[in-house]
Amino acid sequence: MIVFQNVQKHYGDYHALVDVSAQVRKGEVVVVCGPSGSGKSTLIRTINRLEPIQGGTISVDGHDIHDPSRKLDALRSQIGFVFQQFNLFPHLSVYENVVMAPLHLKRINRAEARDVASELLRKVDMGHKIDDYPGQLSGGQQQRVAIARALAMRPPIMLFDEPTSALDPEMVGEVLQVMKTLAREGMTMVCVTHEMNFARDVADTVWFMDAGKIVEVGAPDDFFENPQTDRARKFLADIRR
Amino acid sequence: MWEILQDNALLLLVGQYPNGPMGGLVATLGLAALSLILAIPCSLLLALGRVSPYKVFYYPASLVVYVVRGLPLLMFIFWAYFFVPLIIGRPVAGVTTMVVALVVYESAYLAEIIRAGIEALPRGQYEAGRALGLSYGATMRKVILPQALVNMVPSMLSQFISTVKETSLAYVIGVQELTYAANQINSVLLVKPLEVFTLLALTYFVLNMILSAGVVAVERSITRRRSARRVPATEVVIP
Repeated sequence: MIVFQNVQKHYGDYHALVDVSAQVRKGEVVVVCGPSGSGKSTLIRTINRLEPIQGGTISVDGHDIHDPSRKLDALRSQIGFVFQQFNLFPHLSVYENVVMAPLHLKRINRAEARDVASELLRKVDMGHKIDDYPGQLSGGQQQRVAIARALAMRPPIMLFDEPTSALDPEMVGEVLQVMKTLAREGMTMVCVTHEMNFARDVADTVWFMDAGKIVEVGAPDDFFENPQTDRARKFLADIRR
Repeated sequence: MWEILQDNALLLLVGQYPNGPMGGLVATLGLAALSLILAIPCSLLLALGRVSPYKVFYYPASLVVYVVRGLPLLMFIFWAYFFVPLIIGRPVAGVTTMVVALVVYESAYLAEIIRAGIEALPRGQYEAGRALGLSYGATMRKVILPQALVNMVPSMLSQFISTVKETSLAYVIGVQELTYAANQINSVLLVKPLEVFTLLALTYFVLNMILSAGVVAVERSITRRRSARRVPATEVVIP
């Protein structure tokens, strides 16, 4: 469903993604891990072209995302993206955040919008906060609303860029729970995360990145019990300490 | 001085009105307000050009901003005074001339205020809009500008204060605003220039002190709104 072919990404002289080739099948849950600066976030941000690439191709459902002539907006609405910093729109209520995309892009009416919002917010257990503003919510609640917002266009793919890294520890669980539910429903997901228990429980595949390359790809059990490279062994030792 | 004020209060307030055009303090405020109101849409366009990723918008907007900032206001007034009649082919009232000059001048400064307001927002706001599938324009309209414009209200009010002072330059093309009125009084009294122009200075100062207090009040209310955990829904403006 998502295919990377020889992707190259540079920031000036810095080579951020080095000849990355990989693919994500429909319904697959991929966890991307690796030391900071290894290119995880950059990689996930190239999937919906928040970051441009300088070489190779990325296709989603057969569409070349980085083709300059491609109309991006419709494609992006079919790829949910969840940010580390939530990025809810602070001037809009929870309801208005969630229905922003469908109201604007699908031209649904107000009654339908209300239904969509309450259904999605119930799903992330935030139905009771529909008329609150983001500033009134905890970090975990904001992130759950952000997930509901990303789901509003019914995307078949969801991307998570360190969704729990900005949260207080006691709020991590509630966000991971929502992500687990999505994974069980068959959502195709790519998650950059340091939550190794989540990777173990939910991921089909783990990608380990280092210095802009995917250096190891494997099932979670294999990766955690029997890492193949020194770099992966060192990384796992570091995060378990 | 008190006597001069008592005798000429009406002239300072409204000029020759109703026997002539509206003048004095009212004309000063009116000029400033009208110019700022007309400058806002122009400056918004300029600002969108200044933050635009498209060079066809960025370069012309930047050129306008740099040129206007690099030239004195008085020069714009002369340009408007001599060239606007040439361009439209008929004589133009002094007030119109002054409004044209001020709109051009203020647009450039306001554009930079708006640009700063847009660029001060976290990049994540823009990315979140685009990632949802909103176009560049829709992201600006629904996400960026509603937040940026609220944040800019204090700077815009400061700009209004400086516009009030700049209207005094309209004197040179014979617009009957506050400075013109003061000069008329001076011409009548002849021997009291110190008193008359002190009175003029005090009038500008008091007016702008009041406006400054307004800026502070608005700043406080925005800070309060941002820091409040609980915001009553009715206080939040939904565009």
